[in-house]
Amino acid sequence: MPVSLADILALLPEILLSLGALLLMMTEVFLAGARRGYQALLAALFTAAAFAAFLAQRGGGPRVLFGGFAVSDGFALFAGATICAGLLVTVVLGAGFLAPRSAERGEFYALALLAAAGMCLLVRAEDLLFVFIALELMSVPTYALVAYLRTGDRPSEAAFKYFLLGAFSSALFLYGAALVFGATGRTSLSGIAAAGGGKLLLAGLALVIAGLSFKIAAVPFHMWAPDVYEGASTPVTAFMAVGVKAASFAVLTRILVTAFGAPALAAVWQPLVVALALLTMVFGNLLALTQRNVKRMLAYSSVAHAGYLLVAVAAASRGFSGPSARGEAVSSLLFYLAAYTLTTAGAFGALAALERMGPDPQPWDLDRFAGLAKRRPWAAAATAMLMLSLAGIPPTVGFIGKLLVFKAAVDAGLVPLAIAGVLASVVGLYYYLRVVVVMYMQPAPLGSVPTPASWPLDLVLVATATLVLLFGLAPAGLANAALSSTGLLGG
Amino acid sequence: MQPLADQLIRSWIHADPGAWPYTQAVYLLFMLIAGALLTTFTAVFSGIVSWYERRLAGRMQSRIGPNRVGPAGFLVWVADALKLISKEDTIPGDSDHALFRAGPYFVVTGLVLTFVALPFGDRLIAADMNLGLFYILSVTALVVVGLIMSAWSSNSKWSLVGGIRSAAQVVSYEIPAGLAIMVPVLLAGSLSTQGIIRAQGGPAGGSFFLAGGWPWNWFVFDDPMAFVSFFVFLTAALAEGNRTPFDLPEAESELVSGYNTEYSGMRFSFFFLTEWANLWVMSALATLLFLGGWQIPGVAPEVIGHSAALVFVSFLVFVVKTVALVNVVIWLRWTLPRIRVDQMMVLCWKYLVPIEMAAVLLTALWMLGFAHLVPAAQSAIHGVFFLAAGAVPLVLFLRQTFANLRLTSDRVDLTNW
Amino acid sequence: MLAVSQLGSWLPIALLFLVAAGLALALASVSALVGPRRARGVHDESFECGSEAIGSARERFGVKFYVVALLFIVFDVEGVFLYPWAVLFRELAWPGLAAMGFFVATLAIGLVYVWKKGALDWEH
Repeated sequence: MPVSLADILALLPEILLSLGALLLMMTEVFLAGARRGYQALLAALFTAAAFAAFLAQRGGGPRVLFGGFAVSDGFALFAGATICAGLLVTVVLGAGFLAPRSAERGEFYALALLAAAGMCLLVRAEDLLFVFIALELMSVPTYALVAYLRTGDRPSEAAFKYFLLGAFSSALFLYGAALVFGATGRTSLSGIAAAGGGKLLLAGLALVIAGLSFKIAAVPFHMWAPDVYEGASTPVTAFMAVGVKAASFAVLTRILVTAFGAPALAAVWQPLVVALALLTMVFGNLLALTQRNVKRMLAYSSVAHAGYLLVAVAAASRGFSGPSARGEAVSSLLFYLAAYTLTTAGAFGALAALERMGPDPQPWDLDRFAGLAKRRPWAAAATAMLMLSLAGIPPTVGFIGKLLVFKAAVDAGLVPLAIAGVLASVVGLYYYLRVVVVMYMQPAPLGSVPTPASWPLDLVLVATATLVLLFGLAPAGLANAALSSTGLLGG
Repeated sequence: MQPLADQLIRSWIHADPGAWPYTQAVYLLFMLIAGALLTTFTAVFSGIVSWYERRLAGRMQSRIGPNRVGPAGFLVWVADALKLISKEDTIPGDSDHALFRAGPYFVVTGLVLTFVALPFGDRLIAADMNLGLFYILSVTALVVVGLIMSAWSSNSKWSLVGGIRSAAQVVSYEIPAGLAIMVPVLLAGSLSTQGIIRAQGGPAGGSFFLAGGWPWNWFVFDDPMAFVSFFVFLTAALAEGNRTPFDLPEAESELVSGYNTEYSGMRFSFFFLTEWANLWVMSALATLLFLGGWQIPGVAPEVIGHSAALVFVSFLVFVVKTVALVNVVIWLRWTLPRIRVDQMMVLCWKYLVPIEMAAVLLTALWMLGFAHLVPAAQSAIHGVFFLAAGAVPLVLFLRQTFANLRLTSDRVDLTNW
Repeated sequence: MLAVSQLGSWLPIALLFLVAAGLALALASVSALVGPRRARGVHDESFECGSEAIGSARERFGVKFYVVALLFIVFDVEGVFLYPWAVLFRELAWPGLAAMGFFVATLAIGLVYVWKKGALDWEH
């Protein structure tokens, strides 16, 4: 296998992230006595550099790396940049969340950077073996991150649950990949597409979808999500909801479109994905309705958003729609991923800013938001903006994202699915707007101690809310970027 | 194995092995004979070593050692075997009976299976696999499995502590051992045991003093990293075999007898059979990796296969080297005290592993650095390094030994057997 | 018919396995036939230097052993990667050395990390 310097340079973002992780690990053992504020800065610098590297690589045509194991195409670059943006928010969140709890350690950033490196590799994987390795590189640091702040038994429970189900889903994926290999004799996605196959291939396809459905928390593979999201410390939850989901969606889309894009195969997996999307949207929203615990509510909300994203995946099945409609669907998926990343990371930032410190059975109760408009009007306005975007109300980026996704679904002939999606988002309005109502119309309960403000968290809130509004008002730039990034190599 | 069988068919039956109908049956028969030979060799060797070690210990501690059964007590191992067979095979009531019975079998078969890839001379090997070393490392893992099985199933605290200590020790030292093996593998470019030995035969077409198994052709004197790796390998192999000074898993003074506390009779003897046979395995591995294996000094490796006499000489060379190393290991056991468990871990992870990581990379660097030199220059480098690392220390050691003997007015006495 | 010679080195392994296990089994069986069998009772209890055994031995033991197991996995995988590299090193030459140097350096950083974190110190 010839490896050229250009191949290695194409992996610059991942190399930067890994180097940053190694460096942070070393600062933790050699400079542990000093103040640790610089670690967040270091992590943010490496993340920003990786983000810039992704942007800088745009424009070059799609390229195959390492003799067909990975690719560098617009899809990978866009998804990679999205992941880096999510990581950047996570790092700042971590700085603001961990410092007051005196839990800031280099390992937190190192693990996050390593997991992000895995995610970035995942979105450019072009071979099932490479997918698996990247999947593990993403998952293993995340398991450790979930147990990062292990006060009480909830984080341990969450980490263990996540580890077991994660290992189970990896096994499902691996078994599916093995079946696919058995049916086609290939592991490269384009090779699988060229080879085709019979029932064995379909069984492999189903297992691959099931394995990745765990990672994206689609109903009925979502059972772990609320418990794990609740048990993990809030910056980690944001990272999982944003990064893991984006990377898994990207690789799911790439596998389905590239390897199983033939009309005969797409006709098999499209109904599967439609069913998953329908179940996920309906149950995600219904289950979120009853939550007074905002962290759990956001967990179910992220399940629901997986449903909307699955609508875009279903629309991308080429068998029914033809190349241009597929491009539209993939671009809507990318746009939605970017919008979702910004909004969800910001929403968890709001939660982190209000989370009660110290031992408390209900640190994320809805009451924490009561009276916020009086106490900190700017934070309240930003939070309201994020909630509106999650609900999909103009003029936010969430609205544009939903619009694009449902439009792609309609163009692909999935009108009932689009209607179901709109209805589900209407249900979603209730629990997102309830937070806004509580913030603006309810006084803070007597005797509650407000969490002291922390500037990194405020920065996250204001920055994400501003971007959400900005991209909502002027979506053309981001949408065009997404539209020009749909070139899936071999698809 | 098969070339040997082919040769015999040709010379005895005067048939063409390709056309003769019974060739496959002969192969099978050969393999069965080889299997039986190897298993018997394992058992007999460990028996004789058990006697030899006790005699040697006696000499080192100024006592006599076993001297009742047979000449110089030589038959004591047969008597021991008979005694152990006639003892009761106790199985504790609280133990996991199936695992308790099965554990020793894992230990024994894991060790005996390594002999498939261990050579005894040119052509004298059960199967010259291209992954020979890898295979040996893999099957020895069975021994650890057997130890943990025995330890856990015994349901005794001594056994459990001994077992997990043993597991921790064996897996820890597998890292430096594996990395040390990598140095000869790098130099030879092969994982086959015979291939590694052949690579220590000097430059092709060399003169009498360059060809064959002269010490300056051995890998141990190839470069400084290989020299270090040889000692690292010996240390790690001692630890992997649970030999003193690394015999913490069966430390009598604290753990009664470690993982085999609850065993008696034949099953108990399996553990010791394994321990003594392992002396051969580790010494043979060190010999073939670093000490030139069966290479005969002055004889190019290509020539040996043509003459049965030379094959026999190669067998003798290998056995002499291996037994010499077995001697060293026994000598270490009766010289060094047992180290503590924390020292054991520190030695492995803080010294041997980093040293070997560096050694592997430096060896690669060394190879690339000298790759462009002509063979004569390379031989010259080997010669210089052999003098520096081998001959000079040996001379100094002998001088010191004889000086000590003079000072204490003692004498070298080899008669007291 | 599958020729014996086609099985290469696997048949000797299988045969030696059978012979070795068979011999061990035979010896143990002979011992069972010849050896005495005593009454049950105290004789069957596990050995605790004469005192009565308290509780079972299947209890939790030091987490240190798990740390060693984890370290072993990491570095053994390193070793597994090194094998094919070492065999093919002559062909890989400088690029091979650079790649493996980077890999080993990364692992060395990991080793420094666990070292400094005290995972290699048996006694705390």
